[in-house]
Amino acid sequence: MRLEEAKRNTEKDLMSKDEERQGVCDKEGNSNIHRKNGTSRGLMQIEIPSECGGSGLVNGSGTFIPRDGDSSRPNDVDNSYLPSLDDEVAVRILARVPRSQFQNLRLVNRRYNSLIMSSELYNMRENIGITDPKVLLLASGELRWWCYEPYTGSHRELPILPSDICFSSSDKETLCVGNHLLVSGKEIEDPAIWRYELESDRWFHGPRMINPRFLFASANCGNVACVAGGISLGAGLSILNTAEKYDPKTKSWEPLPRMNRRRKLCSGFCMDRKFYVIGGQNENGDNLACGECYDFTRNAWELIPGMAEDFSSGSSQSPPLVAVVNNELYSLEASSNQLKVYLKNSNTWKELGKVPVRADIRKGWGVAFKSLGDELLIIGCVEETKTGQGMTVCTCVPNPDLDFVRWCVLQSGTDKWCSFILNCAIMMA
Amino acid sequence: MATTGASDGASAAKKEGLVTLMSGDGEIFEVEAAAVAALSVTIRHAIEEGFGDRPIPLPIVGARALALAVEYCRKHHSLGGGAGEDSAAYDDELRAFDHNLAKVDRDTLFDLIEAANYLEIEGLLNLMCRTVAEMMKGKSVEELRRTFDVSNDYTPEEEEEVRREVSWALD
Repeated sequence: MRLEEAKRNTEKDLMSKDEERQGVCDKEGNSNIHRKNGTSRGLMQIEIPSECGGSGLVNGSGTFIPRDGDSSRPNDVDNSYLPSLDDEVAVRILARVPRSQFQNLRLVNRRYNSLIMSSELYNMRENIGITDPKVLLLASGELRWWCYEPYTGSHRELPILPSDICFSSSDKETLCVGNHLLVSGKEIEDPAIWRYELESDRWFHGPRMINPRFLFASANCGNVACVAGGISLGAGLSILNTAEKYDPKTKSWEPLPRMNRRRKLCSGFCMDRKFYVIGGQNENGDNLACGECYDFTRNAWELIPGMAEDFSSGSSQSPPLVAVVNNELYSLEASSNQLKVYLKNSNTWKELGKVPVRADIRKGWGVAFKSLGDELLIIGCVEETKTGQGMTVCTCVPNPDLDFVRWCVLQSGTDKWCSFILNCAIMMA
Repeated sequence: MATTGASDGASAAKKEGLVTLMSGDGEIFEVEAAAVAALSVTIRHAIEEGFGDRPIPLPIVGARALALAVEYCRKHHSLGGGAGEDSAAYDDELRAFDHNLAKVDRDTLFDLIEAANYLEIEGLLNLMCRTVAEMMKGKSVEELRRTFDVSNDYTPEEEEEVRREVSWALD
């Protein structure tokens, strides 16, 4: 029984620590040999401390095989993934490194390369419940939505959304929360929402918002999604200051307090566990330089003057392109293709350089600028498009302390989607 | 240091409520049994196995790591966060505590990981693993090798080959 064995081990350790230590090759080698048998996490057991030059370091799942014969005996070298840590713990750590960095990890050494190429890290990610973002998008000219996983490049089509022709051919807006994608639009008779659920891979009708709207702000705020502002799809096309939240557990909408300003063409995001709405235009068509944020605990909105002061404000400009990565707010200035980070302390923005796609061509429309949690994602065209030129997908890990970011191009000129993204939402599932 | 547990006035009343732990480097800690048993599977089992009245030897856990691990157990136990960060009780205070606990140098971090792994303190292990993963984030290959003392056994040709396979950014 493992308890007894654990106890035996510890007693043995205590009695003969010196002898035991001699059995292990170096100063830190004692870390491996006393490990208890298979833990509840189902990890493999490491029999041979790598410090001993154990060849190839056998593991329980047998996934690691040195690529070349000569790689197996680096005497006096700690060959573990993270020297002085058990490999099974190291795998728990490496599994938490952003997926975007996995390819880079292959370059560390041969064992890292084998590890990344095996399924071990992916299995561990699944075990410890790490989710990978899925990009759900609809490109112009397409009937069907795509589910695209940026780190594997895998993409598949979602089932056809079974709406009427009015819904499928008119403008739509999307938001994701939990495993739900909500698509808001208009059917022949009424405003409508279609909901895609990842688990069942199916589309469902509803639920409708309390105040159906378009050109609104929305954000995934953890357990709920929030929407605010926009133009009412009811009578009169009035500009709204109402807000509501959607709970995927109950599949229902609940009202939030009204915002300070009526606004349409605004954008939403979640930062510091608050729902922010920024920019847009008021009922007179004036651009709003203010933002406002909803505090869930106080159940109140607070106005933030000047937050969107230097945003592009031409006519038919898209809503602000904003995304939150690691709780910092970034914006893509559509007129200049400039990436900016919001400095919370001074309520100002700092430039981080131009992005590798052209958001200016269509005044910010047709470009996806989203957060993958740890990274920014942009999908758009690199140049003025000719038909069928395709999209470029790139990501970066932005650092607010630097003056630049390094973009990684995941796909360039892919002809998977034509050059205009109608809708895009990120599902963390 | 050795009296960390016993000097905690609030709970030093009854000897029965305490359990004695001995670190690998021989330091003795008297700590509240309920707190450590609630979070450490290994210690819970040791107590169940009748180790309650003798010091529980923890051969691979150093005194410094053990002190920090015990502090973690106490805090999480007292605030009812025994189930880890997913539980409702994991509030701002615990978040701040965890955040501060993770602000240690690399060696201490690794010692804590080993301690948490050995003591089977799931929440602490996850916290520390996440912290190390956070340190790795955005690091170049060379920085990774240097920070974590990982040796490179590629021949230049092999490395070049893998580099070619890996799609790269242009900037």
